[in-house]
Amino acid sequence: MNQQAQNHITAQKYTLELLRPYRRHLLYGVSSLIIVDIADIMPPIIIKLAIDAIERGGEIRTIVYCGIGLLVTAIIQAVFRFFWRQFFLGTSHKSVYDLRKALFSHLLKLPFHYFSRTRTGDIMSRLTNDIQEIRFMLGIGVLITLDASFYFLTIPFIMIWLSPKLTLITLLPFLMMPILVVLVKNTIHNRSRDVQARLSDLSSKAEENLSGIRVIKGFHTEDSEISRFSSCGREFVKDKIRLANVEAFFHPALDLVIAAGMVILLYFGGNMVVAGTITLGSFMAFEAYMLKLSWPMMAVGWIINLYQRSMASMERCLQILREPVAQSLVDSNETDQKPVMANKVEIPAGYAIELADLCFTYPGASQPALKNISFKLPEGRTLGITGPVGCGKSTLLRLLMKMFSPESGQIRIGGKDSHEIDLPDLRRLFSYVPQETFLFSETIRENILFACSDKTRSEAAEAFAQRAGLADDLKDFSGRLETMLGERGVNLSGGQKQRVSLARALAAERPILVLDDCTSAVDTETEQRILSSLQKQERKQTCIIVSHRMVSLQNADLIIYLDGGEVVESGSHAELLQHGGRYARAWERQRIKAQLEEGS
Amino acid sequence: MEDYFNEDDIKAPMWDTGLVRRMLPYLQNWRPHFLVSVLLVLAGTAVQISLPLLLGRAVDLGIKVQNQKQLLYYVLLYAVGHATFFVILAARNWLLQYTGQQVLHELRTHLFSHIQKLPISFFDRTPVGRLVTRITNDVATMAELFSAALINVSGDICVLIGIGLMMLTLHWKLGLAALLASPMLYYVVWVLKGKMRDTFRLARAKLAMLNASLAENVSGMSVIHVFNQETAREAKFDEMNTSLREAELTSVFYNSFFSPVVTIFSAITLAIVTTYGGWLVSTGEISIGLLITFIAYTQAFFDPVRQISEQISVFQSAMASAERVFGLLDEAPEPDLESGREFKGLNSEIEFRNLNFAYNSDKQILKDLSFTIKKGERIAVVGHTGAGKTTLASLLKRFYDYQGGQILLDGVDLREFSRSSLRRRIGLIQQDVNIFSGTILDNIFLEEGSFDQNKLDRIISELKMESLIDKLPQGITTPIFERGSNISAGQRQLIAFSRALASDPEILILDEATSSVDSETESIIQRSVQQLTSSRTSLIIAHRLSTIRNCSRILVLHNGRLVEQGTHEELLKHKGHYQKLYELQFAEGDRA
Repeated sequence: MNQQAQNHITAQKYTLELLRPYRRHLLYGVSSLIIVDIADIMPPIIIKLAIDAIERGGEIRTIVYCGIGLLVTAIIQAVFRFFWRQFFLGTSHKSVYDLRKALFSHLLKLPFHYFSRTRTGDIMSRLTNDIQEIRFMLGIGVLITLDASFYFLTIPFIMIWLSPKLTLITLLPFLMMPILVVLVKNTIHNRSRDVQARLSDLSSKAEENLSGIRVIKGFHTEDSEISRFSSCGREFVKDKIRLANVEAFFHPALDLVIAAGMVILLYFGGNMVVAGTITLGSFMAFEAYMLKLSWPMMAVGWIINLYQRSMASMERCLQILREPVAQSLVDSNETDQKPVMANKVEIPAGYAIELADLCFTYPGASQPALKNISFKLPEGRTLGITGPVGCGKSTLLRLLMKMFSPESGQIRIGGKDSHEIDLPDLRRLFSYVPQETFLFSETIRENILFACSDKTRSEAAEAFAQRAGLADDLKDFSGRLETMLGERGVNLSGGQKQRVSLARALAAERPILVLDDCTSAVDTETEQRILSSLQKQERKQTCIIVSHRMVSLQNADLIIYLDGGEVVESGSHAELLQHGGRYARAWERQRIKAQLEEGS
Repeated sequence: MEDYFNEDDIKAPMWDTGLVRRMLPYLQNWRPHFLVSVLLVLAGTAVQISLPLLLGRAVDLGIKVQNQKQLLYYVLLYAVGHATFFVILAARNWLLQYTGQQVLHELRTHLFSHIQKLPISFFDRTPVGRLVTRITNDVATMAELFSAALINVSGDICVLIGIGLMMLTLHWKLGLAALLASPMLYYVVWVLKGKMRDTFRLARAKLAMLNASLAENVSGMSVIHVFNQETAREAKFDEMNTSLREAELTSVFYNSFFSPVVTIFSAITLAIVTTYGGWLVSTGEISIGLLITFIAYTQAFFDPVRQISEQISVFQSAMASAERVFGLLDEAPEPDLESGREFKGLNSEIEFRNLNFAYNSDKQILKDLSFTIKKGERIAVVGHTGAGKTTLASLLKRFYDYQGGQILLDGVDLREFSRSSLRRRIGLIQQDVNIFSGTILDNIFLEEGSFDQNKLDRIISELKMESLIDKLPQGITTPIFERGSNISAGQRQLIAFSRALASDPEILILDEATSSVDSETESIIQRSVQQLTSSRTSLIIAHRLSTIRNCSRILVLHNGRLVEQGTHEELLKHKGHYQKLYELQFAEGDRA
């Protein structure tokens, strides 16, 4: 069996798996559906009885009974139609809820490198569009499939019961319908694809133009651009009309097939009534059944299409679910089940950090990102890391926090090899202020208390905001700490974001604070104030500060200068200046730059 | 990041006369087409209504009286009726698509032309993605109002009215009985639809919020991991997910009422028609054929109800889109580019006199700036980031108008010249080279039909591009891939230079790239800059030592003011601002 077929079967299996918890609801749904459909195929027979009664000379009693019969079937149908939608569509929403939950909780467990190699847009399209497709299939798709099957399994037999000969003749054109649907749908599909391609040409033309608008205006070539865009648009219109050439005829053509059946019925059926082979009532019932049968005929093509699309979507969702989770999380899951293994997990004693011959190469990279890094940072001290762009500063932090595992060498925290510390426990040691600030579209308070053990401590949030230098910023917002951030709230400036991010790290109250070049959007003065307040209040906190701004590091106990993944120089600020090497030169350059900025 | 939350669509009204009136002018050119569409709608309705009548006649005059000839006659008529209906329906669909697309095309081109005329300051504050959405999606949604929604809804309404009138004419008592339930149906559907719409909108808003939060969680995954907040985020997500599910279930609940309600009403009507009609037949007041016609009408009466209710959301999104599109069309364009004197060329000098400029009131960019550039001079402007260098270039091209002071070309204020002539005669070579799709040639001669072989030869020889062109598979007509991925950085630079030469600039402004480049590109740039500026008045926003050394004068800007000027050697001797800048930007050294 090839891989594709294999995937298809797992997708199918998983779809059934999604429905399994709701099988009772589905059973109710199927029962309602059967009742609805039975009630739906009754009226033509009732009308037949009524017309036959009228023909026989108008037995009023029968006619009234028929009227009542129509009403009763209608009420039954209406009631169960309500239930059928509730059960089928409701189930689809519940299943999709489960699927979404499973996907999200799996995503949370995936390792760091999954997110660095997968685009957010790609993950999102699976979580939105693909889930939508699956929901259509699970809800309306299942409903229509069952509904159509019921009609196929009953109506032809009733028609045969009314008149075998007439059934054979009238249903002949109907058989063309699925063929027509499949054939034309194919053409429509191809032409829609062309239209889509043209549309994307059009939007990339617009995007290109708008991104280069300064050049276009600069050379005053707006008119040429308009005529180019317009001809691009005409191409689009041309293809769209090619599509319309087929699409416009498609639905009327289906109607025409039904009409052909009706014409045949009217002629042959009419003659049979004249000849007395069937009654006028049967003739009318035939007409009604033919109309009823046309809908499931059309649905066949649609269902096939929906099924294929939803299975492809399911496969795409399964790809996420099949991604292996972060290694140490697998371990910890196992330990949950086997308590015997628990002694493997060690809690570090103290928070001194020691690196020995640490090496690391990114997957697929030819050059190592870090080479033989070694240093010792006693607990409660501050480490400063600096160096040119791409020197390995951020990589070093990633290894420390175990977003990646080192290739060789050791990281010891509190005397324990970080390999032996359970991932969640290890992560609980660090407060991190990332280089690129990421805040959630929630209130400032929620963002600050993001990793705080007690999220109800409002007054604590205030204190942390104060320490991160946010106090003045908060005065600008009417909602203060309750101000919403993001698209539907206020947009903070780069510096404000960084300060919120800092407050978040402080509020996490963890033994090791890691600042990754996080004050770039803050002016030097504010930065100095914040850093010195940190050092005063948290004398015991072990600190790692990465910065390209040397002033930020001058008070650190140990500074290492990285270049090309190696420690080039290390020592205290005074020692490094004395040494007169790269650090000292960079320090000098930055001093000049500061003078320039001050406008001396 | 993609926009997962669009409140406008959810809150938009169904109908806004003001907006619809603004759309009408776009239909002007297509009036005959719309007229034919309307006629086709009417004709279709007529045929559709006549078909049940033919069915009744066939029963009465053919089957009942056992007249096979009459039966055949009506069967043929019935067949012709269906065939006609097919033709009309297909023609109507096609024409709607056709006309709709043409209107859409005009609207789109109009919007695009309008955007081209907007001032640069508009583009400073508007993201490209948003404009692309307006040009593609919003315009299409808006056009749907005319093609699908309006015509289809009026078609459906015609059928409703037609059937109603027909039944009343054929037999007013039975017709009235058949229509008895309709007003109530419409009332119930109306109330229900409101409820359905509200719950549907709520569910959609929740879905949009959930998706936005998902996107946020995915992009902030490393923060979640590092702070060990997986469980907390999962709980938070589950809260939203649950609330979405509940909203969806409520929406399904109200939605589930719709189809049963229509079923009941159509059954009540059918029951009334069958019983009362059957009694009328038995008393001989009407024929059985007429009853059959009535039954067929009753069955056809309820389809339009469903159809119309489905179009409501189309109206709504069309209104929301129209609002956004017209909002964009209301943006004031740049004043007429051609108005003013034509700038023909420079005779003696460009003078900046006490120039003041700010993009917005809170930050002054240029402060009281004064200096003069003689014709043919090569001037370098240097300064720290944010000193206002690039602004000078934008002002010369009249992308913005200055607020105080003057720029004088041969003593005439720059603002007296037309924007178009200034933009043509003042060449600007920007830091980032924008490459457009098309061939290299297209990228050099940006204006359609401006290609000139002599000029091209001159450009090629001036920039010494022969060897580079020979390296390309199809020479100068080699197509460039998206974002210029198949050409080198040096080739891109050359394209930018030749583009500027193609418009025969009188004055040249060069905005040098700050980033370091490979040695091939570096040598191309050095050679070309030297070549280009030797015979033209040029202002170079310089980031390269080699460029500066070749300039006759260097202007040092700091915080929008001119702080020093002179030659490289003079300025270095002065040991002022320039000397510091030099050490920081131009001297080789450790780049931390």
